[in-house]
Amino acid sequence: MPHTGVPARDRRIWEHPILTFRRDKKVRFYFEGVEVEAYEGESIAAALYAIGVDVFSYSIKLSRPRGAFCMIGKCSSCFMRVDGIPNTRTCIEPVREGMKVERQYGLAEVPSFSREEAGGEEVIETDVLVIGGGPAGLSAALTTAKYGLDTVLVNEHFKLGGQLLKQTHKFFGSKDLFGGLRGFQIGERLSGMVLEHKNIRVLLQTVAYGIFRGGWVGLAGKNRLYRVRPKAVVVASGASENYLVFQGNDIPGVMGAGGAQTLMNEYGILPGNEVVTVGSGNVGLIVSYQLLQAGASVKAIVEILPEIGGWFVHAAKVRRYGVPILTRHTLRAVWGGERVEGATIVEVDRRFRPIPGTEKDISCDLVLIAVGLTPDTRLFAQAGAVMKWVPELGGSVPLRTKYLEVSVPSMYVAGDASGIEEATTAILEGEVAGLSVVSKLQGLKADAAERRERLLRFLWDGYRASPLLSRARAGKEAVTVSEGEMSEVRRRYPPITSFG
Amino acid sequence: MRADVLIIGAGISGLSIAYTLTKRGVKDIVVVDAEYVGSGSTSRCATGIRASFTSEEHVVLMKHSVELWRELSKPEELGRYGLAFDQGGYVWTASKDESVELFRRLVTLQNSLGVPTRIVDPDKLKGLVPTMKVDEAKAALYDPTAGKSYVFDTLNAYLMACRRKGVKIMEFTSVRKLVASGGRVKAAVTERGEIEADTFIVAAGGGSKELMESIGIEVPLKNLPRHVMITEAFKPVFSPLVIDWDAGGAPFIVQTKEGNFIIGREIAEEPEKSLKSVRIDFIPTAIAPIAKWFPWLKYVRVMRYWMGYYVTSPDHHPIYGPVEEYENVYLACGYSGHGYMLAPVTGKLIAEWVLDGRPSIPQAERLTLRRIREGKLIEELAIVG
Repeated sequence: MPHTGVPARDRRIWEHPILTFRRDKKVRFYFEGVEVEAYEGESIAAALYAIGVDVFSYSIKLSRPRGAFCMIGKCSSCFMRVDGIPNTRTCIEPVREGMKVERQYGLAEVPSFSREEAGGEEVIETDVLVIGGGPAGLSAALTTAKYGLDTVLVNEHFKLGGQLLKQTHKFFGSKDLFGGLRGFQIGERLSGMVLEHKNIRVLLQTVAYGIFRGGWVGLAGKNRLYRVRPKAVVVASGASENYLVFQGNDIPGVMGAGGAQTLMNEYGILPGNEVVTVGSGNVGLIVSYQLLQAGASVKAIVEILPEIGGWFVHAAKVRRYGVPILTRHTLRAVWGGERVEGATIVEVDRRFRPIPGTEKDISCDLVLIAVGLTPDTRLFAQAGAVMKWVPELGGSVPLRTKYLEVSVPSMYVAGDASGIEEATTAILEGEVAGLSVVSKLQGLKADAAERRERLLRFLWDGYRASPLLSRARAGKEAVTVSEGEMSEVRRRYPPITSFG
Repeated sequence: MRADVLIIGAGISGLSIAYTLTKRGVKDIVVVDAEYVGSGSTSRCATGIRASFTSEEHVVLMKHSVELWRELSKPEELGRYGLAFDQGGYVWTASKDESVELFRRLVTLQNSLGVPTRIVDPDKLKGLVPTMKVDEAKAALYDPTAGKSYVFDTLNAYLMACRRKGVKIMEFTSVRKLVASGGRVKAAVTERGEIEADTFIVAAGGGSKELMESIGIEVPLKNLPRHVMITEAFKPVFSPLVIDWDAGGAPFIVQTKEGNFIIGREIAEEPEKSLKSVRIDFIPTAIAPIAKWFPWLKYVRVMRYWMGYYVTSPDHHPIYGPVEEYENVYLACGYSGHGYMLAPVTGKLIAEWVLDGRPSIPQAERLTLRRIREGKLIEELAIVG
C-alpha cells in the first residue's frame, strides 16, 4: 500500500491482558491525498494516530504542530478539513469509505462543496430533552422514557456512552449499581437500552448550541438544524480535561490522560511507549496502570502536592510495577519537534516554587496531563442559571435543589456537569433528575417519589459518606439549596427563559 | 472626590472624549462606569465605520470621523497601542430597480458632500467581494472610504492612551443620580460617594436617560435590542462590509481582522428586552439572505451570538452638547447604532463644546436636545442591523 508522506506505523494493540478490540471491517479513506486504512467504528483522529500520524494541523498564529489532546470533542487540537469542511473535530467524526481528510495549515480556507446539501430545519415538541449521552444522560433518558415521557437524547459523539466507553476497570458496589461490570460494559448496556426504547429518539453527532427565549433549545446536527421546545431539559454535558502551563505544552505527545484512555481503551491504540504522567489523582494513577498493562513504560508520575492525590489501592498497583511517584515535583518543560522527545521535571518548595538545581531530564514520547476536570456548564450560564464557583467540584456549576433542578425552571443538571465526581454518581444523579422530571410533568407518583428519596439517601448518606469522597460531597453540599432558597434566588435573579 | 471634568460612561464615546480633552490640555479627568470599560454597546457592536449615510448631518460628521479614524490609527497616535482602521469599504447590494435608482440619488448627495461613493455593476462587485454569488444583484453602492476596526483593540488603545495621560478610570462605579443647584450640576452621587466636578459629560448610553431625569431633563432614548453573531475564523476572503439593501432588515456580513465573520440583521423587537434573551429564530433569519450570496456559509459554524442595544433617539441621530437648563453638563448619547463609528468625532465635538463653547462643525449644532424639544427631527434612511 502506498504511504508517501504518511507514516506507516502500527500503534494498534493486538494483544491485551484483559481487553479485545473488535476490528471487523476495513475502511479506506484519503489522508493528504494518500489512501489509508482504518477500521469501522474508529474516529478519524484515532485511525490516523493508529498509523503513526502525530500532527493533525499547524496552529493559526505560530504554525506550531497540533496533535491529539482530549479525543472527545472538547478541544481544538484535532481540527482537520474533512470532505471540504474545515475545522471538523476529527476525534468525534467516524471514518467513512472514500472520505478526504486534510491537515490545516494556519487558518483554514472557507468551506468548499463536496458534501451533500444541508438538510433544512425541523421543529420538535417533546416532553423531555436530555443533553449528553454519557452515564448521567443515558440514565436520565431511560428513567423519563420508562414513565412514558417522550424523550429526545442529543449527543455530540457518534457513539453513545460518553466516558464509560474508556473505563476498563470493574465498578465497585452492588449489582443494582452495575458492580462487577467494567465501565464500557455498563456503557454498552445503557446505550443498547436507550437505542431500543420506543420513547427515546436519539440524535447522534448533534450539538445543543443554545437555550433561547420562550424555552427553545437549538440543536445542530451534521446536516440538519432542530428547534426543540421541551417541557423539561436535563443537561448532562460532562466535563473537559484541565490543561497546564509549561514550556512546550502544545507539542504532539502532550495529551490529556482521558484522551490517552480513549485511544488505548476505546480504540485499542497505544498512545505512547515511554510515559511521564503529571498528576497523581485517580485518573493519573489508573491511566498509568492501564498504559503499563498495554505494554508502555511509565517513567514517572509527578505530583506537585506533598501527598499522592488518588486512592491507595491505585497507587499501590503502579508502584508494584516499580513506577516512581514523585511528590513535590512538577513539569518544567517538554521538548521535541513534531513529537515529544522528553520532559524536564523539577522539585518544588512548600510554596510550589521550583527549586533551582533540582531539574531532571527524562526521555519520553508521551506526557499525560492528569490534573483534573472542569464541568462543562456553559449551557446553564448561557440560559441565565445562577452559577457558583466551587473548587471542590472543578469550577463553576449551577445552583440546584436536591432534586437537581437549577434556577431556570424545569432545567436539571446531572453527572460531571453538576460537579466532578465519577460514573456511579453520574448514573444515580441522572436517575434522580429523570425522576424529578417525571414528578414535575406527571405529578408526584408514589413509586417515583419513593425511589427518588431512596436514591438520594444512598447518594448522600451511603455512597458519598465514604471519607474518600468527602471533598466532592462538601462541594455538592455547597451548591445544593432548599426549595425556599431557590425561590428566593429566582426572585432576585429572574431566569431569562423557562421550560414547561 | 472632585475633578475638573467627570465623564459618566467608559464606552468608546467616554474614552474618546477623555482622550481628546487631554490632548487639548485638560488635566484632571475622571471617567466612571457602572460596569467595565466598553461593557455597554461598544463591545457588542459590529465595528463598521462609514460616511455613506443619507442625512447631511450624518454624512458630514461621519466624514470627519472617518478622517479621524485614519489619523488616530497612525503610529504616533493610538496606532502605537494597537488601533488599526481597515479601510476595506462598504458595499450595499440592490436587487430591485428602484433601489438602484435610490442609490443613484444617494451617490449624488454623498458626492456633493465629499464622500466618494459610486455605483458598481455585478462584475465589479464580484471583484470587490470574492466568492460572492452576484446573480441576483442589479448593482451595488460602493463606499471605498468606509471600513472597520477591531473593537477590543480600539478600546484598549484609547484606554492605554487615557491612562498614560493621567485620566482616572473608575470601573464598577455606578452613578445613581446627579445633584444640581442654581443652574449648575454640582455632583454625581455614586455608590462609592459623591464626585464633584466643574463639567459633567453624560455618555452613559441608555443609562443617560435616567441620569438626566434625576436633574429634571427628559432625554427620549429607547434601548432597541439588536442581534449579532460571529462565526469561526478563516483566511481573509473579502475586505468590505457587505449589506443587502433589499432583503429587509439590512442583513450584513463583515470579516474581522482575526478572520471571523460578523453577521447581523434587524429583526422585530420589543424595546428594553433583556440582552440575555437570545432568540432561536435570529441565526437562521440573518444567515438565510447572506447564504444566498455566500453558499459556503451553510457549512460554517457560528461561535457566538449576542445582543446589544441601539440606544435610539427619535430621529436616529445622536444627541450632543449642552442643555439649556444647566451650563456645565453635556450630552453624548443616542447614536442609534452609530456610536462606535462616530466616537472620534464625538470626542472632538464635545471637547470643543466644553472648551470653545461651540463645535467647529456647524451641522453638529443641529444635533442638540433642542431639535427634539422643538420637533425638528432629521431623516435618515441608511440604518443597518
